[in-house]
Amino acid sequence: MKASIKVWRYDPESGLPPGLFPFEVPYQDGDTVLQALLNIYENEEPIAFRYGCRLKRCGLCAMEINGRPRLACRTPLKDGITVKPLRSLPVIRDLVVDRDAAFRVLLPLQPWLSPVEPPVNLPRLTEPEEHKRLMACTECLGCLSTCPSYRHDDLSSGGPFQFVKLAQMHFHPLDRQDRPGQARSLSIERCADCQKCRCLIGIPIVKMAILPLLAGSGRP
Amino acid sequence: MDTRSYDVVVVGGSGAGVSAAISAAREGARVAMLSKEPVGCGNTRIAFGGFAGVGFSPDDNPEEFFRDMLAGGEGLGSAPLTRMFTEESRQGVSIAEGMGHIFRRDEDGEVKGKALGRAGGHRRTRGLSSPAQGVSVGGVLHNAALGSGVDILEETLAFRLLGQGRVTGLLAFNLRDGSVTALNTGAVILASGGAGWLYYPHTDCVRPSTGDGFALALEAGAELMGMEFMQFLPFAVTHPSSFVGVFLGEPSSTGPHGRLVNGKGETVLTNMRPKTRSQVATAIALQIAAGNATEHGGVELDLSPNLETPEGREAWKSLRDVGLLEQARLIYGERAYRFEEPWDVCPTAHFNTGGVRIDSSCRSTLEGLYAAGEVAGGVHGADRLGGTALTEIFLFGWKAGQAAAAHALSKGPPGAGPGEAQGQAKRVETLPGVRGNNRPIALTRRLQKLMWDRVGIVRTEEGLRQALTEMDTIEQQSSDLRVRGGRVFNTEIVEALELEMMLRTARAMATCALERRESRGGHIRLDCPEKDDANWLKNIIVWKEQDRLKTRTENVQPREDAR
Repeated sequence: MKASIKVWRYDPESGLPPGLFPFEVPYQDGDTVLQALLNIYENEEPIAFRYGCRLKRCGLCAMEINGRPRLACRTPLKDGITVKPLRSLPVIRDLVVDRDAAFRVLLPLQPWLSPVEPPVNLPRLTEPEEHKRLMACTECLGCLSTCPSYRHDDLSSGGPFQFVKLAQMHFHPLDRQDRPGQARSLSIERCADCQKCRCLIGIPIVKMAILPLLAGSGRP
Repeated sequence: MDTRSYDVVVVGGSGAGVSAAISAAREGARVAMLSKEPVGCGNTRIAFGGFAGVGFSPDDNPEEFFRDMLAGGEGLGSAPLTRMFTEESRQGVSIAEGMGHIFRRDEDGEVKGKALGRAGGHRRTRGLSSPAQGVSVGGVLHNAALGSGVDILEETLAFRLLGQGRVTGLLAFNLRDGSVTALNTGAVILASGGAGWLYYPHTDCVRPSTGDGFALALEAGAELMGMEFMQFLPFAVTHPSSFVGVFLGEPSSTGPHGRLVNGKGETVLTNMRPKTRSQVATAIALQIAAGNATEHGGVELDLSPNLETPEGREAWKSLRDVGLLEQARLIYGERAYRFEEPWDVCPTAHFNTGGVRIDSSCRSTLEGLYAAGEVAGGVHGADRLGGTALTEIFLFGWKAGQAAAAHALSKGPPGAGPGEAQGQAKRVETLPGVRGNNRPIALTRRLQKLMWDRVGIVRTEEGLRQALTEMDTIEQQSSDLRVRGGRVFNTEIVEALELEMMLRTARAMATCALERRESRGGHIRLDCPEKDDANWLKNIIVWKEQDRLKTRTENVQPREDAR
């Protein structure tokens, strides 16, 4: 069997306009979109895309499939689908986006424990349920494509990914920074009436990141 | 070509690499860390998140752990390194929490009792676990790296170490802009992981696991050991093709009553829980080699007898609770997830237990070169116990960072060696647009198939010789490459450089596998099927001399000398 698939091509060095290009790929039951891209890569053209683990853990193969952000490794191949890069980030080549753009607003907010100081004994602590769930974030950046207002070039605002990263720290028992305050500096208040963001692997972003950061003042 | 100078350069941006980079920076070194992928996207992220550590259960102590490790390694583990590892394993888990990771706690908020698990081969309970599995460790690594003050060079590959008789730098290729940079440095730490990708699609490792560190070390003149030992996990997906090689479990996850059934309907193995990964993987590989495979090329793992006893049903629940059944559900469906339907399984390449030969400061045999994590050899011998790798990479990464920083800071900056670097850089800069006959990916796929067919679990002298001959052919053809034009994110250049390194690593693995005329751990020789302790309680050391691989054997150090 064969399936037709349209893939976004963009070559910054050629001067040619970007656009969708059709391919025919072999198709067997159970094939994923990632498998189709690998087939194109091996047998037709070296299209550029990232991937890593084939099992939804590395987060590298997020792209827009039929207009929605999906992990290519977990999306069944169907005849006639369209594959484009994540709309929320600058495109480097074909399906590869500039991931750094999503981290630019975060770096000044230091979403880490600092300095790294290995404890002599692991401390007694309770890990909040929110922290456990939020740490399942694979950093695929797909959620940014579901946010109606995120703009990577606006350094005064964040999107769901950035708020998940801040909420991870907010719920870490040893973090001492004012993460809700930092979220306000990234205009989180506009999220209050929106709540359209979705996580590709099912983390409840609104419930566990947006609402607690909106409600929070200082440490939880 | 740009040139930059650092005290320490770390090759690899996952568990061992981030640990090494942070540790070296804490010692006052100026550090660069190269990562082929975005930071934190190595095998650590896709691992299950279990860390073995001593001192969390009252009945455990370093001596018990030491014995389990040496037994698990079937006698070939380095006693001094294993001694150090088992005594300091607590430090390994502390480093992870210091970066921001949180291990599972019990109801009192402590790491004890119910918060702990036990993987196969451990006679004591010492398995710490991660509620969001390895994904959370990957996220923590990324955060910690960003906060470390280390220069992070992402999507950058090291393809050549520089220096004569000692390592004084390396050449790095950046995928984003196609540039080559020479990094002059007082010390290089290899933390680049293993070579599971040599067996694609029969691997549960991530794409960058192409064994670069083994090849870099060999080419520079360092010694490697135990390269014949690849650990295969017994249970991975056989179909559909998109998921071949994806991890489904290990012996400890078969419950009390799981059984293996071959394609003829014969039961070939029961009571798998106490068996090692290699024992079970070998049993499956031998069935497949004997022509007893299922239509999908594997055997059936029948877990349904577990549903008939309380203990078996309890095992299902605990496997479900730790998330070990999710892959089976996603790929083989709901009935498989419930143990009602057997899983078609085949072994998958998981971990190189051998690697760059190091001492207890992670120094290689070459001045200025250090190694930590999967790329290093010594701790695991012929096979590896579950949960030991993550602890190892954090602990040894940390130690490598300290030792490399001390070395580099005491030596002062090295002089550049421009001649060698210029020639190598030019070679890479002329790759885009070359119009030869062979695409790198086509040769890579041929090498991967060759490794699975001839240098997999079950090996023969004839097959290994054929493999080495075929590697010569692939190498000849790799001098006639066809590579697309353009410099921005040209993945074919990375593949060309990786192919060169994969060939070197593959050759070392096949050469050592040919040398070892016995069967042990994940290395099964059909022509020498017995374990031969009288002649083979030895490590095989491999290095390069005048463009040829040389090997010698060394007796294993008696364990009582390990202090």
